[in-house]
Amino acid sequence: MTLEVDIRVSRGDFSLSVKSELEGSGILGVYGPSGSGKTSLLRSIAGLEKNVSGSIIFAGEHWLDTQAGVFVPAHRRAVGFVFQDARLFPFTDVAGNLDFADSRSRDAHSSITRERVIEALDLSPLLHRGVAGLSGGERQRVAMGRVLLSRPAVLLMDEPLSALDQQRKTQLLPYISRLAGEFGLPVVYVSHQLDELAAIANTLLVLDAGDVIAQDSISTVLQRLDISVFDRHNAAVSVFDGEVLVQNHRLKTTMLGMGEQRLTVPQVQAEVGARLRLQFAAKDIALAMAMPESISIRNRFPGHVMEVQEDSESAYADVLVDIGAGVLRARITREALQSLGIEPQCSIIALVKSVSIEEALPLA
Amino acid sequence: MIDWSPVFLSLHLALVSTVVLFLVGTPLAWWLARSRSRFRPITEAIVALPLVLPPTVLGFYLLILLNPQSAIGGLWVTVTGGSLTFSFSGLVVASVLYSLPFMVQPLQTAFSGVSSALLEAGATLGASPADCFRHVVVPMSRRGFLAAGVLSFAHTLGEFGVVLMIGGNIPGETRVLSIAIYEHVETLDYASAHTLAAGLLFFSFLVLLVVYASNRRSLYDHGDAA
Repeated sequence: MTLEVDIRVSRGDFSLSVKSELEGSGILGVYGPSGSGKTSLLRSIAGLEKNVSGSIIFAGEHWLDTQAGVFVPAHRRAVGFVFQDARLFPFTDVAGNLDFADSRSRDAHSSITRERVIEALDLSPLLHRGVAGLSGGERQRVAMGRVLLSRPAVLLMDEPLSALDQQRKTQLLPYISRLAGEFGLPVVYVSHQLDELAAIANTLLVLDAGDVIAQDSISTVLQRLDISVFDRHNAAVSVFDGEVLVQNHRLKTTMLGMGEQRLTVPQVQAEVGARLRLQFAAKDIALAMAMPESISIRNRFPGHVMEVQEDSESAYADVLVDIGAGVLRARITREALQSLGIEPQCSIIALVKSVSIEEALPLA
Repeated sequence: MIDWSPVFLSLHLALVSTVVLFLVGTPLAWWLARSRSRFRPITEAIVALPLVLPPTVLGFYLLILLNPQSAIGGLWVTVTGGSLTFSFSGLVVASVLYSLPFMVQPLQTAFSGVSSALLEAGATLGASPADCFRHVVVPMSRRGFLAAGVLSFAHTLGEFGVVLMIGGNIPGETRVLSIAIYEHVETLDYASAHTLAAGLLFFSFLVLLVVYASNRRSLYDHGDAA
């Protein structure tokens, strides 16, 4: 996918200006706080935003070119859009919603078949149910299935999980990774929840107050200490690829490999050898100058400090620690930083209090 | 012996008028429901006029507008060879105007209730605006279409004043049900008047019952008692 976007949207006192080349396959995450212009960006790409000027070029096709007077209407752009509120058609059942998209398919040679979609999203028990009786999570699964059957060239998702509770969210995330992986569809996924994006995205674009302030591979962007929105929302995380090494059924734990590092976590339902995405919240990392003995935290990674940044506006400091398998981001108090004398190059032990684990596309 | 031809004439007139009203009223109602044009209020007022005007006023102006000496009436004579006044075609024109609010208002209400969110969903699934109208708006507005059709039909069936002004009382051409009842009463033939009047009363009641009964039952109910 290459999607060249150079647009301005202005409405009242809000203005968005994005100039960016959205490239590659997999999931492109778009992060920004509420009101940063994420949804306007997505709606502009889909052709739903009318107050937009500039140009949008998808795979050489001009969808928008204000100077040449080109505005391709939404129904002629090969995009699929998953809305925050599923927007299923209430006058028909689940199968009818799928048919609506299937009969308007954009690509007759697509490898996406009705059977594969129903299987991938576990839709068969829902097919003959009315839309009104579905739960929030079921609705979004149907909405995703419907969008896939219109055989889009790119999938745009606008906070599809924000209306769901944490448990449903966790259940749905793997489905989204599967769409991108199994059907080879590029996905642009918008969210104001960094942990959601860290769980599934391969590339991350950060919007703040209508401007693009970062765009790179997700692990690179997450290591940037200059992006203040992460800290403002206490959301900073780091991500790693992990592999299931040993399942200990007696103690109900799983040992995961992360490069040369090993970590033990409460049991994960996955086969030995399965590749998973590991996510560490910066506020759940503690730092020690020497390996602590007799401590309940079992996951301890020796490494050395790469970068330190004190946030003079708050009590906290951000520290990047190279642990061999990658870079871990920790957020500790400035008081601790100063009294321990933590500074670049010093050796350190990172203690991990918790990790969240998702089925996701590999980072690299 | 009662003459049934006014009944058939009325049914014929109501049917033709309702079909024409669907064709004229649907785009008009859609425009009224979606447009933010400054001409919208004035259009709405014109459409609603027949609700408040005495039918004789409407009939009087139509008589002036459509008679063969007028521009429109004259043009009609040149093109079709027939007259728009005191003829069946003239009654259709009059009925369409007279029943317009009964078609447009239920449709406009139904169309306003279709959220643009669903139209956006349709568009991103590859449906053109016309396709969206046919396959999203129409099924979302089924009750509106039913109400509009039934009310327009029943309202046309019972019209009197406009017909009297522009159509007169020509058997088989313009003598509709209500005119026939009026004439039976004038000639003190109460038995015939009773038969026709009671028939119309019963039919109108039935029609309204259908509309209200269908409003009670959700058309989007697809089971799922759970």
